Amino acid sequence: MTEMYNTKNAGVRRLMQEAKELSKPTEMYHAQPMEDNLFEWHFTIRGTIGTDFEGGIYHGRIIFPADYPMKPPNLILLTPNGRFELNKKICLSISGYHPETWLPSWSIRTALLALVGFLPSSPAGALGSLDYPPKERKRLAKLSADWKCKECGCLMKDALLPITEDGQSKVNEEAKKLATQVKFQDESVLKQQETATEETVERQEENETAETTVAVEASRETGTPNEPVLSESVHTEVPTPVTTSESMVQEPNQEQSSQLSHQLTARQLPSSNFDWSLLLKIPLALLCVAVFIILLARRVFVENESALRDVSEL
Amino acid sequence: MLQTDMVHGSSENQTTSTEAITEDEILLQDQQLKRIEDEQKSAPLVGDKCSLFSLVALYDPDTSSAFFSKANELTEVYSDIRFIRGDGNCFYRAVLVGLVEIMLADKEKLRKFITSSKEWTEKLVKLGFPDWTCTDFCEFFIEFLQNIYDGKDNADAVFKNLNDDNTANYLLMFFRLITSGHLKENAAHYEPFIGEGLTLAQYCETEIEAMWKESDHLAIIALVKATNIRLRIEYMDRSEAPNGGWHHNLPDGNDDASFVPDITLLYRPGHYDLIYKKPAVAS
Repeated sequence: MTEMYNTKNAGVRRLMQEAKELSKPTEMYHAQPMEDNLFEWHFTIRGTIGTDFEGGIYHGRIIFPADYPMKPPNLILLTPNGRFELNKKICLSISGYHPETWLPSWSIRTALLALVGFLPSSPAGALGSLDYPPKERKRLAKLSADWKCKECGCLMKDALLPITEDGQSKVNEEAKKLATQVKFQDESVLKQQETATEETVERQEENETAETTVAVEASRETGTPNEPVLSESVHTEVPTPVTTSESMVQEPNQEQSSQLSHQLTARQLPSSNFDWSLLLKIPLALLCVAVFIILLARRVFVENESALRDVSEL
Repeated sequence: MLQTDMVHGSSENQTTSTEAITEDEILLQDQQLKRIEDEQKSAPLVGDKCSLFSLVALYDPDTSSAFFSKANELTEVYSDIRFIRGDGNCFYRAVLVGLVEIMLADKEKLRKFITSSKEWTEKLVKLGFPDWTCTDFCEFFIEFLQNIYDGKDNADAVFKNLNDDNTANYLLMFFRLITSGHLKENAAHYEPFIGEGLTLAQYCETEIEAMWKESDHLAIIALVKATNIRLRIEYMDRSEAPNGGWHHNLPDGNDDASFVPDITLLYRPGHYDLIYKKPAVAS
């Protein structure tokens, strides 16, 4: 493979170095480039003991942007896990175009550990995330041992080193810490949150009740956006606030998303949600046109009539 | 009110259509962001040295008279300008290019800078910078300097590297790292200047070690100290200068009379370019 790439290229050098660093499987993770493409890797990670993912071994792809490590890698999970949808890009630090929360001094190891730490966190309704009940996740974790990657032929139960209690606790500490720093989300979440924020702000402006304000204040105090939220409902869909009582569930995303939308103010998109007021506007417009035509017709009519009258008088 | 409620209703009932809309939106957004990026990339990372009158030409004497007259004033002292791409890295990049130019002309300074870069590598490791990745940036930078020193890369090759996104950003990361390193090394001194409830470490990670983040005054001071250069920044807009004057010398506490800057930057709101003094006229 070495001959295929320009080894003077800093990014290529870095990826080759990382491949060397990760060449041997560890207890918790392993990743190697595909044989024919240095910018696509396959990885394997182990679920943390004491979570729904205990005993689970999960496999996936890593797609690197051309300017890695300046921009973050994209991860895609292939093994059913009940936390992330399969075959969908889970973007590290939200999206390749918003690399602000990714540091070039982080590595693939950092990304994998963050993913391990991120698995047990609450999806909080994020798109691309799954919120399967613990029972199902545990079942999937058990099944994962016999899962085999069609592309690289890697069998999960053989992919990592056998686990030792000591080795895991050390890595897990790091993983947990990283998970609070790195955000794993489907890239669409960004957009979703933005719309949600806009709508919520709108809503707040419209009914500035004490109730809403209190809800916001309370959620601000609850802190981190990824903290498990009060929702017991299966939230696999859009985090759009529906009622005031639900806003408690929504709010933890707020601070983060308002920051995001702030960053994006210059790039705001017109919302492509259907504009329901059109239902009112279009008939009104049609009515106006109709009235205008009737009046015009009447005028023509009256003129013609008087002309006819003139003719008959003649 | 009515409108938002109805939207919520629809998103609840027609989950599939919402997803489709979202994906369209992402596509649109990605396209827009790509356009912004392409627009940035239409300018070279580091422009060729050109006459300062090209700066004057950017301003209309009627509609932006203040900038026009300041630009004219600058032509009395400075002769050339090197435009730097405005991608959030411009301060670091301008200093990088300025330093490399000095080192291309002065082998002794180059040797000293190689030594201090090696010292920085060790310092960063001691300061607890992550893994081998940080040293990787340092080694890449040192190798780049060593190639100049050994005569492997001439000025043309160097500027080609400085204009290659991949290489140039790798070199630039070294500057971001030592800026952060200097702040962390002198944490007690800089901590009080960091607002917004951030710790110094958090500030360094989010504002300095991350790419495409613009530099603020703290970053400027730290990089000047870390590289041990004398820097002058000329301000197009007086209100932007920290001392309320037309220019600012760094490190602080240098009066104009004795101060000979190594590098001079021109600051226009939100952006830095490199400018060059007129050669002294023999009288």
